[in-house]
Amino acid sequence: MIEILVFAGIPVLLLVLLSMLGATWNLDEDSSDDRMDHLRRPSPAGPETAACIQRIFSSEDRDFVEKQHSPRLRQVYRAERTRVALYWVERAASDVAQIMRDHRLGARESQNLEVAREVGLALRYAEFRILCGMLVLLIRLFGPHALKDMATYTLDVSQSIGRVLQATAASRIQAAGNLGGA
Amino acid sequence: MISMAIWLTAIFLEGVLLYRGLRQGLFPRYPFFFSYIAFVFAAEFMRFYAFRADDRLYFDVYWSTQFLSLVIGSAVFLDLYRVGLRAYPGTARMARATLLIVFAFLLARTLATRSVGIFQWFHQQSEQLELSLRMVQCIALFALVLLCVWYAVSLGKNLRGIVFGYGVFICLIILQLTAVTHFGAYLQTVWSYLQPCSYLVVLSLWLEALWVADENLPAMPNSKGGGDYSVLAASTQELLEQARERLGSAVRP
Repeated sequence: MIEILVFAGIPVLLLVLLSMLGATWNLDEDSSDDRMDHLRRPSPAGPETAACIQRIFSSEDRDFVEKQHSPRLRQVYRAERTRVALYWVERAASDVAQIMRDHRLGARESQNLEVAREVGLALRYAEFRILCGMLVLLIRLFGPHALKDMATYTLDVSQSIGRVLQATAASRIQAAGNLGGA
Repeated sequence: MISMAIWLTAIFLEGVLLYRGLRQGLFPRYPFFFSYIAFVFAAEFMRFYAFRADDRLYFDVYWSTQFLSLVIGSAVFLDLYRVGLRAYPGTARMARATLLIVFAFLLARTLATRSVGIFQWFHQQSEQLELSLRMVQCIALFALVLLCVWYAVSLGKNLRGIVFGYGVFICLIILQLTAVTHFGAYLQTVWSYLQPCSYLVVLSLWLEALWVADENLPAMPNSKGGGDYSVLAASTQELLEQARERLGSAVRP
């Protein structure tokens, strides 16, 4: 059964690839689509932007909204914040796609291309796209704060484990000291 | 009667394809592809003669010419490599490495799974042997087309048509042979009509693509050679790391 799937699957995949042959959609920079146009502009960088991005995912605003005890406000806040977070992730993905587009344009004509390095870059790009996809999925499912909550929780757990390990080590040293003294 | 009509149509279309290739001056541009078509055209006449002479002779002629056309057909990849990637030395380098890895992997797999190595292939039934060899072609073409799509290589109408038609041809044969070898001989009758019909479709695709010579041939390699790859890769790597760092800092507590 697996053999049939492989023997049928590879030709089907090849047919899909062949349908893309000659298309320049992956390098095309001219599109009238406004949304894509927005995404293609390089995202602004700097400390203010970094602070804004931190704020999108931080729980400060959410805590404030929670304190208002207004279900409507909570709903509006969550919807808007999710939209902004998704926009930011899409933009980050678009920026990186542009970086890779420029890279491919240069690399394809390069005389001294290094195959291993090129494969490494492609894998790094794939990893980044997967991360972006996972971020989009998590934001859609649990909202933009879930990630920070998860990261905070993981950090708390790791810190508490660290504290426990330190305490255990200290008590062992103390016990060894007592034994040595006795 | 129907199979004879399909057969004669295929011979006619191959003849037209060769004629158009000669008229448009496409032979020197794509020598491997037109050599392949010329061989198939000649083989069709041999098969036709054998078919009218003797059943056993036809079987022998069919499989020997089929095997040879498969080997000669593999040279079509050389046209893709030689003409299509001429202006893209970086992509050509990737293609060489990828094909080397693909063939090394297939060879290793063959040696590992068959006790007497690749020579076991010659003891397989004709359909199974063809299926194995077509699969090798399919994987190699898959790797080449993937690179062409990734680097947005512009092949031009003629070469794109050749590659597309040959790819469709390989895919259809694999699908048909898989069905025949796995689902029994009762599909043999359907296959005997389906394979020539799909070949007619492929010939039509080639005719459409090669009717007129493409004037927009891929340019010759840029003398600047696309710049130094190390510098390009280092800057891309740095930009990717910055983007990843931004992504991480947003969700970091």
